[in-house]
Amino acid sequence: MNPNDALALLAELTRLDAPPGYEGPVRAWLQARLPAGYTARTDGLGNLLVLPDGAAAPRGLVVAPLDEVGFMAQPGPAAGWVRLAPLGPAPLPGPAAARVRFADGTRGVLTPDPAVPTPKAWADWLCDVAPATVPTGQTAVWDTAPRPQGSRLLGKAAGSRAALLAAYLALHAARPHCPVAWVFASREHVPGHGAAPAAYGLQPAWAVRVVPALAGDRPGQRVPGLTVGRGPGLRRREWGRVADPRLTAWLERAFATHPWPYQPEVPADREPSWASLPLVAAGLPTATLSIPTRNLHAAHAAVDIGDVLAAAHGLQAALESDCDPLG
Amino acid sequence: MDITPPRLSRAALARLRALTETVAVSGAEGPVRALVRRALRDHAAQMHTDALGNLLVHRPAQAPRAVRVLVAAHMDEVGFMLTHRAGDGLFRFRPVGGLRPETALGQAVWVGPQRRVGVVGSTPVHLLHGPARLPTWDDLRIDLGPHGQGVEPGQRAAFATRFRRVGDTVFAKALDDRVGVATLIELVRHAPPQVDLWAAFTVQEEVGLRGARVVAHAVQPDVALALDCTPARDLPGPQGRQNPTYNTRLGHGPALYLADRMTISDRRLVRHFEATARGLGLPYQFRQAGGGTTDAGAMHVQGAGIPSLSVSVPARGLHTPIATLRVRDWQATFQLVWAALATLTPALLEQTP
Repeated sequence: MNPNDALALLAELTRLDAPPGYEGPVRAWLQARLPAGYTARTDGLGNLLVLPDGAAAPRGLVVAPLDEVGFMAQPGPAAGWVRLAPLGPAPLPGPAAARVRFADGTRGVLTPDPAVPTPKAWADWLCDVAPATVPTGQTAVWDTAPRPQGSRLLGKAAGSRAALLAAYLALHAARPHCPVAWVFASREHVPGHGAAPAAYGLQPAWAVRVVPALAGDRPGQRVPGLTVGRGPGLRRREWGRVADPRLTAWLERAFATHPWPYQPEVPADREPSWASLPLVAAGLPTATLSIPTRNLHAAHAAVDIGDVLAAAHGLQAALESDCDPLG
Repeated sequence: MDITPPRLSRAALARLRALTETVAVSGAEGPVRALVRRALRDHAAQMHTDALGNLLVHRPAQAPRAVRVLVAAHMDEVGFMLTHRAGDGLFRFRPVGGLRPETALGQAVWVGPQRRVGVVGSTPVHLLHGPARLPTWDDLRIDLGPHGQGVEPGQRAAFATRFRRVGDTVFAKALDDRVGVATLIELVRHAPPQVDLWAAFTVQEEVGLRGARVVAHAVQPDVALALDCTPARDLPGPQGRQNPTYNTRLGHGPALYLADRMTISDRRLVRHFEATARGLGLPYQFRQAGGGTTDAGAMHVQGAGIPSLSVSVPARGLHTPIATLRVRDWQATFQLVWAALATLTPALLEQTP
């Protein structure tokens, strides 16, 4: 796929709303675009499991998130005001008013609670929805339209959807020599471990996750990290877990024999849920490809489509090279 | 809605009294387990204590194509563990579960299954010089005096609070989660015939949802429910203003969870419980999303995933020496859970999550 088409597809995906546990629109989008020879089903938690026709037990698993960070409405102090509980690691808004969009289409503008001198938590912010009312429990996402800028896309959920798009492109392009299943996982941005129960049910021998990752390339950044536009991260370590070295080497070999760039990654930040997959059943060797994202999970995240395509191509090359990367 | 849920009996209230006056801190739930066994010995097809101490009770369905439902309520409470002898009947101790040191100051405690009475001392005002500071656990001792004979480090202690009922209000310790345990006992005793009911009285919820994790793995149900007790934070704020960040409110019925720290509730179950409450004219409220969690946090990710929901009785003052709940909230919780289970069909789970 050429970069412009991929960028358009990414923009289309970021227009869909899928806070954790409420991923219906993205799941439907994927179900309508399955490649021939694959069947999809939705499990009890909302994970979308895509398996090759006739394959009962996949050898490998590719996992990407269905969801994005979102919010849930809480009672506010007066009519027309609500508070928001974040669903996932949503960064606090800056001093300028940020906007969210509720599931029923209502827009809300965030403003610090004047009763709190120094807002430090989401409970210290108010959301102005007047003259509408929003019932407790309604979900919301950042209200940001996607904006392409050269090879980059700015907008809400750009990192999460970029990870999903890389897995989706690999699903369409790859011709693995053995059965590989794709899990588009529900609730990956909260400690719900959506992919882990799916993996438990499928019992694969190994798994590769594609995830968004916080870029560390701002000028003067104290701890440098991934750079946007230099390829996906190939993670060496998760919080509390070490990436399986055999799978990491397998992915590295695939990238090394092709012109697609990648970056070794050792993330400094702790992520909410993605460390659970290696502990499924009797243990699941796992490796991770990450899409560098500026302003990860904020209203205006930024990704480079070149990183998405490199991740998709690298994954495809690995899947077509060897089905037994564990040796 | 063409069903009439049973009501809680006087005996249920008496059981709640006995349950809250029992000491069963996480990891030492035996005394509560014994009470539950006694209450259900004539009502279960099968009763089994697993390796961690969870008590599993099975009431098979009396109808075909029944949904296999796991309902969990945790037997343990927050409390203390004695760690070192400090001489003269004094013991150093540490909290078990989420407790603040200041809640223990000047409180009487029951130590061990024999409920020996001890006191956590506090400095009298005469001896205070300068501004008082909040104590740390290292500052505190449990004073057992002559009762210290035969007490060993490792024994648990809990607040020594007697159950009291005043009109519609109950004051007691350990309502989290003895009210869930009492509700689940009633649910087993009056089990809706349409469901294959697995009641799990779980251990070690307060220290990491440990019991529920293995129970859900063992039972592999179609649906899991956690019956718990959730903090109400509904008292007025400063200068009498409404507290806008209340979690739940007393007197507004059972709290249905939409999301908490570890779980996003299954939407189908939320809708079903909401519709059931409306159909029966029962009060209900949504617990605010955000922190805290229940056994559902562990259960919903077991096996290949289990659609789950938490339903709680709201109470003020949880994880302190004395908590408060309204009997009408408890009554509505029992009736809602009973009715929602009685009308639960496989068709609900065939909908997309």
